[in-house]
Amino acid sequence: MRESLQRTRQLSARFKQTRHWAALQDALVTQGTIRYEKGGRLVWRMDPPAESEVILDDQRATIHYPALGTTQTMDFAADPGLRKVFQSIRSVLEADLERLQPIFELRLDRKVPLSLTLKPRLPEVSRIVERIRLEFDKELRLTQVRLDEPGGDWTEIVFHGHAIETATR
Amino acid sequence: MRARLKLSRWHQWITAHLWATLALSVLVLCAGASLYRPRATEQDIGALLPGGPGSPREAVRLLGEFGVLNTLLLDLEVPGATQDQLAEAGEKLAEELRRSGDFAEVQAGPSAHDFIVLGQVILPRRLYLLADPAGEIRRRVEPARLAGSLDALKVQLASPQALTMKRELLRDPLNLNSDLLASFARMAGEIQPYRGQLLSKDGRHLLLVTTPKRPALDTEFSAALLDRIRRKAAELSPGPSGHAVLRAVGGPRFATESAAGMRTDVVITLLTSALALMALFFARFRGLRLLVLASIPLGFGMVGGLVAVVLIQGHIHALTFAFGAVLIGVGIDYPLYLLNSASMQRGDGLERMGRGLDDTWRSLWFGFTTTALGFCVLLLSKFPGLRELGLFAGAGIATSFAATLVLLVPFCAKWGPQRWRKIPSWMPKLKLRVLAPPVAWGVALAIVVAALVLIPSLRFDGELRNLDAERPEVMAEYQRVMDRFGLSASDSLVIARARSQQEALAINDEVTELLSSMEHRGLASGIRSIGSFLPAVATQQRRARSLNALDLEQARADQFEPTATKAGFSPAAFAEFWDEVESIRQEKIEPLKPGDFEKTPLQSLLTRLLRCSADECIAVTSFVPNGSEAVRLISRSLPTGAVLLDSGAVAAETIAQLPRQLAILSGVGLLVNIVILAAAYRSMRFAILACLPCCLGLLGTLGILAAARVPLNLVSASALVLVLGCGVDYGIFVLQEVAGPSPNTPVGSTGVLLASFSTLAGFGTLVLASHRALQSLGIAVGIGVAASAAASIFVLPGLYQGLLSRRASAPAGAEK
Repeated sequence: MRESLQRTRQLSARFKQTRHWAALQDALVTQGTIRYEKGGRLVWRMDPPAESEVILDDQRATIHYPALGTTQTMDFAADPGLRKVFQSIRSVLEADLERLQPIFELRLDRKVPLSLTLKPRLPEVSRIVERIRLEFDKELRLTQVRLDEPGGDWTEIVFHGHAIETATR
Repeated sequence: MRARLKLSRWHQWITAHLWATLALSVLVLCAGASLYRPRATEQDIGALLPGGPGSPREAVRLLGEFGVLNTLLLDLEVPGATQDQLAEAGEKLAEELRRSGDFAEVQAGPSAHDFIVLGQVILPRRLYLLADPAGEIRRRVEPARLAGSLDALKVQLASPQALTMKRELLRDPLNLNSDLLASFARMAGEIQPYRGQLLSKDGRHLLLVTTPKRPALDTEFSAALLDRIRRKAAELSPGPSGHAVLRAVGGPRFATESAAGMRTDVVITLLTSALALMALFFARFRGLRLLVLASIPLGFGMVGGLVAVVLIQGHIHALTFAFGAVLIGVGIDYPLYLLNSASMQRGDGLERMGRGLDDTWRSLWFGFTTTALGFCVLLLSKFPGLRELGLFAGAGIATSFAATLVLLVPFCAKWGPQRWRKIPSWMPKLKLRVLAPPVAWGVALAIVVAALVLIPSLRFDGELRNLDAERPEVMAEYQRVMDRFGLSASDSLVIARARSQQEALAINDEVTELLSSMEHRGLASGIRSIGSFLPAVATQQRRARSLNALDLEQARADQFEPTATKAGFSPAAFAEFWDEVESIRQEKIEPLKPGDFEKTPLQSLLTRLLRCSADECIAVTSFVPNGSEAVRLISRSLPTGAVLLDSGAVAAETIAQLPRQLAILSGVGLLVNIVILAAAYRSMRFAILACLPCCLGLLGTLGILAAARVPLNLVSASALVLVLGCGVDYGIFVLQEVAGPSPNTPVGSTGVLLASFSTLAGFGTLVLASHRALQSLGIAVGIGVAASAAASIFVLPGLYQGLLSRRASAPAGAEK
């Protein structure tokens, strides 16, 4: 897994996100593309009608809603708590175990295909997410994420159509 | 004549102790001049205007504070840089500027943390900030609008960050927050906050709003600061497409460039004045020695004026010093008149000077008394600026005159020329051009009639900014920066005044409502009011109670929930929002108070817009009126306790009072002069005759300015007092000659000619200045002095002859 991640230079995939929230009568389903470069930024783009783009890097999150014509920038330097939460989201979406370990306790649910459960170590993260489950395919590509929140709400993100660019040895 | 005899004895004593007198004179001059210190010099233009609550002085001060006077805007451009790179460069620059110690404040944009802190203060109490919360809710729960808001909410709920912000998002189904935050953002123009910095609409420029530690009018500091900023700009890292550019615009830049222009003007005009005076003395006396000696009374005049003002007031305004120094330049007329007369006498030095003084004694005293009284009348003005000017010029002219009488005679006797030059032949020939009595009366009448016809079209330009040096490129650069960031300079303020902070805020809330309605009617824009984020507690409570008019249950059940259900939300999704409305309605949530904003980015705005003294509190709202009619309408509609301060209106209503004041004071001065001269001449007709050249000069000046469509301004209007002061002297000098025992001697007319040339050399050269205040002074005084001198030399003898032929003989009083 570590080797696979280390070799990955760039990754993009399609995703389908389904939110099961008490505030919503039905599941809120959205689709889009995720793309990241190792050590660079992560771009989370949702397709219309819920069109939006989130760009995450080490310093900030920039959120753009084309339909609303607004752009919001959150500077992590001003709020370390916010940095941890967004770092977690990024690390989960990138399946970056090295960075996840200080924030979450990792539990191996299944070896093949790999399945992990993450439990937050930090209170600022556990207030938002109670448990995260990561599912991988045989090629160790992230295929599914399930985020369970303390109030019972949960979100599932399914990835497909991976395009991975790896470094040659 | 007892005084004249006593003075002769003094002259003899001084002649015997010349070096001791000179040493004492130098000592007195140095002691007096030492009172001039930068700390005792006032530079605030508002200090020249009447003071007190609601006064023009307060208006100018407040307008200055809210305008650009002490604000320096820094516009950073890094060609080819991304917004992130630009923001990083701006952050670094702001840090360096803060550390430099040159600035009281360096404002960048609000950071994410600032927004979070502000949100924590304002958002739980956002309904207090809506003028009509019940109406706003009613409008926003209308199905079509609500459906739009909920669709937008769903987009936000789908985003990754919704995990962290779910609760906040669900508390705002009516999209109140973004509208509220947008209204705050509008107060700052079209600026885009980005990573704690302020970027232009196109994201290529970054704005830092700075307040230097010292006022803009401290031009030495401002110039050094701008120089340091230029050096800092040169050190900035270049962008991918070129060197970084840092533009500094605003009050300190205007003040510095204006002062630099003024310095150049002073050098140019002083040099040309000196050259012209040297040429005049050389033409008349064939040497410059008398110019040096004649300047001694001038030096005493300057010091005398300074000592009088500083001792009485404790400080002197820079403008009074500059303008007053020019005014007492008229003091050189007396030495010139005396020296011209002395040159025609016989005997050795002291004898010649003594005879010259005997010949001119009466005219000098009449001339001095009338001029000094003219200046003293200014002491009656309600404008502190005019009173200070009157005191400076009155004391200065008195000291200068005393020095002429006491020192000039023995000094010239000792150090004057060995051979005095007679009057050059071309000067007396001017007397051949004197107008015949009927023509003289006709010309005088024509001038009066033409002036009466033209003067009504004369405009008064009360805009103080138009007195500054004309630098279109600096103004254009300033305007480009303002446009780039969508900023508007606040020219108009409404001041809500009350005993307590809350009362002032309550009045301010009424003002805000009025201005908002005017904005809808297109009469106002750019409203920046404290009421938009801090209404009075009473206003907030009234708004909370107004929610009782809304049937919450019905609005929720009949309108909100069907639309929310249709949009896919569950019935309990927005329970927290409706609980908030209910809590506000029952006033369970504390209203906003000034202390709540202490650690928010709005604190600096709050400090500027709400301030209290021991006696009262004021809340300030700034806006841009759409024309003078809008100013009048808004001014009339304001609630009790609120006043409108508009820079244009201040100019129109306050500065415009100055010409009226000056006209009244000049009229009073003229009347006093006529009375004094009537008593001296024992003839009212001769008194009026002596004053006619100055009146003709004044009317001629006003007529010419009106015909040339040159408006009067604060400076040129004040300068007209000088035309009267000089003109009266010229009239007295010429009348002394034509009514004296030897009417054909050229002493009087050449004395006037010399005096007018010297005044023109001093003032006329100001026309060369780039500074518009100095230029207008040069034009007004140049025309006035030339016209008064011409009227005295060419018209007055004819007028006198006309009177004489009607009365057969001159009254004894007019004769020597």
